[in-house]
Amino acid sequence: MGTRTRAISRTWKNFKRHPLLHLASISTISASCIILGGFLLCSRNFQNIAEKTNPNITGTAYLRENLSDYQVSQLKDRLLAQNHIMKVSFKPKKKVADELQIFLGSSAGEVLPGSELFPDIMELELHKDTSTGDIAALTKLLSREPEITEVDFSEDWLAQYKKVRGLISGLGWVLMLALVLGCSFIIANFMGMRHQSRKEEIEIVQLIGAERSFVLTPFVWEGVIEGLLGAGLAMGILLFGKWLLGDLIANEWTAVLGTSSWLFLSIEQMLLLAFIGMATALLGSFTVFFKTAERFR
Amino acid sequence: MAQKMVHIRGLGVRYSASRYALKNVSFDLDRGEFAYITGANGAGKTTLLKILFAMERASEGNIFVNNRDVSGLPRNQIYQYRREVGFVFQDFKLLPDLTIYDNVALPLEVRKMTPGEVDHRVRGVLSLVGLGDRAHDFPQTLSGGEQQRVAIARSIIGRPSLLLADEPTGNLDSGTARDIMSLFMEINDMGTTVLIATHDEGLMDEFPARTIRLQSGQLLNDRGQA
Repeated sequence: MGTRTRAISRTWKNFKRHPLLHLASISTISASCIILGGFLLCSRNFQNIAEKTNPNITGTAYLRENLSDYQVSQLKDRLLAQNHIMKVSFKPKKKVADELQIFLGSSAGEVLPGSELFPDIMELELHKDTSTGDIAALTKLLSREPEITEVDFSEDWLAQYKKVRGLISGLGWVLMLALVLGCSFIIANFMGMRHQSRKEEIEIVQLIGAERSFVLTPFVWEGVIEGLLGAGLAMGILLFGKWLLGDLIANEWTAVLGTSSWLFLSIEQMLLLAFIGMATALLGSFTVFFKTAERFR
Repeated sequence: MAQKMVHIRGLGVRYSASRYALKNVSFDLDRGEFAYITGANGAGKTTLLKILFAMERASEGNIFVNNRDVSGLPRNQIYQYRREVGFVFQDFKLLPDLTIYDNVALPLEVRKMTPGEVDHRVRGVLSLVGLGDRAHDFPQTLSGGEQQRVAIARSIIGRPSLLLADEPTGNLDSGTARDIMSLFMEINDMGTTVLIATHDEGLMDEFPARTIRLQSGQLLNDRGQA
């Protein structure tokens, strides 16, 4: 029997001998992973909805009155030649008024009061990676075009959107760090309790000639197994929760959110969760490792 | 010294300049010898055994067990040394959630023996201590005497050259104590050097052997030396 097989066999025996303590550790890891996984799940779906709502950055260039088709075409070419502009579409004032009427709920045929004042417009779609600074520079540049009277990229909304995304992302990292540290602390305490309960065993095993590794290896294996089981359980619960609540949310909120399909965690996120579960449990194990190592000095 | 199992010269354990647990203790034990260490509580019996088992360090003196210098033993070699010496505790030190079989097998698991070898040896030694039919019971289901037999079985399963016992009959009634002493004699007859710390004069009279008497940490007398 190899050293690793022996260690796993002893770990399995330890699991059978102290089932409640191990269950407590697994539950703690699982609860932490559920919180983190839930956050990742919400974040992923938020991003999905946000992308569906407004996949690209758009803006509007308001044009002077009475431009010829040739002038519009020339302007369109010049705009498309700009670095950050991906797509340009011309909309005459009639079409703008019709779209506004549809948005307001009246039929397209009716005459909207004041619609004769609307200008023709160019709708601009920018590349996703265009920064706020690039937009400001582009606005300045386009304002100099003789055919354009005003440019509006709704930068405020964009800035807010980016801020929210940044906040969520930052919050995610802070939460992740807090969870790993918090859970490690709790698990280290559980491990400490287990260590206390096995203190006598460790002493006895030392007295009959056990090497340091013989005593300590099972703690590390226990950490790996607990981490994987805890993270796996958390993913199972999250999947069940998504299945249970997914339909309900979809029925009630599809119209508002614009989507009826809910995403589960990506492979990378699932791997991250498994890694965090294992890292948390191992951190707990190593705490016991060093606590126990003290006893050997 | 080659024939000596234990060789102790000028052993001292000091806590401070004026407080000591052992002072200038010297004696030898031959291979295969049976001896008692005796004395009142606090005489230094347990400290002496702990030093011989590398559980405590001596402040001064030379201690050799089986030609190995115990006083200068590096910490990372203690576990190897302990595989050569058996120790029986007064409170048995059995693991309550392991069966008798697993408790006795533990020293062999530590030595990474194959399951076949372990099984062969455990059954043999359990049969020797008269517990062959209790292998799969748990310690708490056994009487004190039976638990001490398990502890003895565990201490000799690694075939140690020296067996130390600290008040092994201290928690047992007189009848059971006699059975345990008979078992130690039997183990000694098989060639193992046995050193028992006890203050039970009755048992020492009943099972006569060399007696090393300590008083306040010093060697008072050494009777019946071979």
